[in-house]
Amino acid sequence: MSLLDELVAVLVSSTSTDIIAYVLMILSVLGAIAALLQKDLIRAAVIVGAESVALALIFHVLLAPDLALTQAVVGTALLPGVIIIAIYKTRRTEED
Amino acid sequence: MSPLQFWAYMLSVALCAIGIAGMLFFDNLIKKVIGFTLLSDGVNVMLTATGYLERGIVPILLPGATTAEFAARAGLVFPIGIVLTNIVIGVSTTAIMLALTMKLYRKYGTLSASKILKEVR
Amino acid sequence: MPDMWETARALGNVPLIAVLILIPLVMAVVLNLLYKNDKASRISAIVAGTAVLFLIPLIGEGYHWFAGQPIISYPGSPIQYALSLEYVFLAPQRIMVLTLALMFFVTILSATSEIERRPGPYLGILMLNFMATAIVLLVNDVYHLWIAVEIASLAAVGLAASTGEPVAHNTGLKYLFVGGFCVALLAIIVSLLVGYTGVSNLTDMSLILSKGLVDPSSPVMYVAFGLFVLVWAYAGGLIPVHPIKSELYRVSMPHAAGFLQTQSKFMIVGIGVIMLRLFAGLPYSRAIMVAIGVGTMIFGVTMAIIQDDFRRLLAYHAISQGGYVATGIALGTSLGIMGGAFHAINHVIYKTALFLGCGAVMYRTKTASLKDLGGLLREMPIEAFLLLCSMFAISGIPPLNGFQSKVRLMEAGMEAGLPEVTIIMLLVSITTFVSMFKAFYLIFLRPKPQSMIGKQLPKVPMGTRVAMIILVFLCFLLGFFPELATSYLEPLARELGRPWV
Repeated sequence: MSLLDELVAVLVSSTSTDIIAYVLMILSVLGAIAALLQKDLIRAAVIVGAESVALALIFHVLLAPDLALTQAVVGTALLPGVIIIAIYKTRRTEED
Repeated sequence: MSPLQFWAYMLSVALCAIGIAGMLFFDNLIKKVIGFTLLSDGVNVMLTATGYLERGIVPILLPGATTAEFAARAGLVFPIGIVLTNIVIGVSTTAIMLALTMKLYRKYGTLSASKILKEVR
Repeated sequence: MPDMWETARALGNVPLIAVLILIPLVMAVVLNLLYKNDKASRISAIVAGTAVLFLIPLIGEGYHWFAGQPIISYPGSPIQYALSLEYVFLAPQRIMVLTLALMFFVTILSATSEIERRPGPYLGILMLNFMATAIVLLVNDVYHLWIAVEIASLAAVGLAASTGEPVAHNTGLKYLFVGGFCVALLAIIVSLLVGYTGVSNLTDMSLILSKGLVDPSSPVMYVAFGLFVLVWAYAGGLIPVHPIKSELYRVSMPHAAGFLQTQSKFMIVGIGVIMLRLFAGLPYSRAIMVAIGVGTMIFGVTMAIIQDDFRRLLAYHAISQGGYVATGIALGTSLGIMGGAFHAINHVIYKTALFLGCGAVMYRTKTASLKDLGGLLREMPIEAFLLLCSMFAISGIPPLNGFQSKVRLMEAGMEAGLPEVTIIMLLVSITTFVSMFKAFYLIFLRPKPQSMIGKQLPKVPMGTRVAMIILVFLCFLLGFFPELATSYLEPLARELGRPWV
C-alpha cells in the first residue's frame, strides 16, 4: 500500500513534462527489449531508431536540448542507416 | 535527488543491462552491435542525468538573463560535452564493427558468432 | 598530496606540445590521401617519425594549458581550480614520451622496409596509435583520458586487422566488443567522478579528495575504483582480460605487435599513476592492484612455456612482463613506482627488439612455428646475436637493462614487507629464461629439419636490421648507465610514493 502511495505522490507532484518523461522511459526500455528479440534484422534497426527518438525527448526534459538535437539526428538517421547498409550487404534474417 | 533524476538513473541501468545482455547472449553479430549501441545509450542517459538540477533552467545563456541567476539555477554543462563526444564515438565504433562484420560474412558466409568461432579454430 | 602537481602552474606555455600531438594526426590524414604512392608514403612517415623524435627535447617543461585561463580562485574556496585542458610535461613524462617516440620511429623503419605494397594506410593507423598513447601519458584531465583510451582501442584494432587475414578480422571484432564495453565503463567512471567531486581536472580532484572536502572513502569512490581496475586491466593486458590482448599480439604483423605492446605498457603506467593519485584514501586499493599484477606475471609465463609458436610465445611473455610493471606501480612505494616505470621503459625496448627479430625470421622463412624451424644460425648470424642479447635482457641477466629494473622491483618488494612478491618475481624470471632459450635453441642451434634444407631464403630487410641494432644498443646503454632514465623518473617516485601498510 505504501508503494502505491509513493507512486501516486511522485506522479502528482511532478510537472507535465516529467510525466511525459516517465512514459517515454518505459517506452524506450520496451523498445530496447523488442529490438533484440526480432528475427528480421531490418525491423530491429528501425526499432533502435524509434528508441533513439524517445531518448532524444528524455534528453530534452533533462535540460539538454543540444543533446536532443544530436541524438535525434544521429540516432534516427546515421546509426540505423549504417546498420541497414551492413544488413543489406550481408543477410536480412537471423539464422537459427 | 529529485524523482526524475532517480528514474533517469534507473533507466540508464536498465538500458546498460539490456545492452550487455544483448552483447553476451545473442548469437547474431548484428544483434551484438545493437547491444553495444544500447549500452552506449544507457551511459549517455546516466551522464545527462548527472547534470540535471531540479526545477532548473537550460544551461544556455539567453539574452536578458543575468549571470548570477544562471549560476544558481542552470543545469551542469560539462556532462553535455561528454555526451556529445560519446555519441560521435558510438557511431564511429559501430561503423568499424559493422565493417569487420561485413568482411567476416564475405569470408565465412554466416553471421552467427558460434559458427565463425568453430571455423576459425 | 604531491608537490609536483601542486606547484604554481603558470609555467612553460609553449605551442610545441600541441605540434607533438598534431603532427601524427595530420600525417595520418595525409598518408591516407597518398595511399596510392608507396614511395611518398614511406618518406613522409619516416619524416614524421624523425620530426616527433627531435621535437621532444625542445618542449618546455611544466604545465601547458589550452583555451582558457590557467588558474581560477575565488574568495572562500580552499583550492584553486584549473578550468582549461591541461597537459603535464615534467621530467618523467619527457623520458616516457621520448621512449615512446623512439619505438614509434623504430616501428616505422621496420614497417617501411617489410611491407611491399600499400604501406600508406597501415602507417597512418600507426600514427594514430602513437598520438593516443602520448595523450594518455601527458593528460591531466579525466575526460581527455577517456577520449585517448577510446582512440587507442580503435586504432589498435586497425593495426591488427591490417594483415588482411580473416583470423585478424575475427580477433579485431572481439577486441572491439571488449573495448567498447570497457570504454563505456570508463564513461561511467567519468560521470561518477565528475558528479562526486565537481571538477574534471585530476590535480584538482586529488586535492579535493586529499583535503577532505568530500569524503574520499565513500561508496561512489569504491564503485569508481572497481570499474577503474577493470579498465586498467583491459588497457594494459592484465588478468582477467589478458586472453584478448595476447590474441591481438599474436594475429598482428610482428612490428605492429611490437608497437601494440608498447602502447599497453605505457597505458599501465599512465592509468596506474592516475589510480594512485585518486584512490589513495581507499583501504585495500593497492592490495587489489598488486594481486592483479602478480597474477598476471604467473599466468603469462605459465602459458608461455607450453607454446610452440614463436609469436604466441612472445605474446604471453609480453603479458607476463606487463605484470611486473603493474606490480611495481601498484606497490605505490617510491622504489616500486621507480621500478615499475623503469621496467616499462626497458621492457618496450627489448620486447620490440624481440618482435622485430621474430618478424625477420618470419620474413625469411614464412613460418613462426617452432617445430618447423631450425639451423638458422648460419644464415642470419647478426640477427641471432641481436636476438640473443634481447633474450638475455628479458631474463634479467646482469649487464643489460632488464637486470637493472628487475633489481629495483625486487628491492621494492622486500622493502614493502612482501617477500612473497620478490620470490614470485624471481621464479617468473627464471622461467622466462628457460622458455626463451628453448625458443632460441629450436630456431637457431638445432640442425635443419628436412622441410627447410635447400630452400632459397630472401634477405632480411635493412630497416629491420638497423632497428634491431639501435634497440640492442639502447639495452646495453641503459644496462650500464641506468641513471640516464632513473634520474628523470625520480620526481614521480618521490612525489607519489607512500609507505606500504
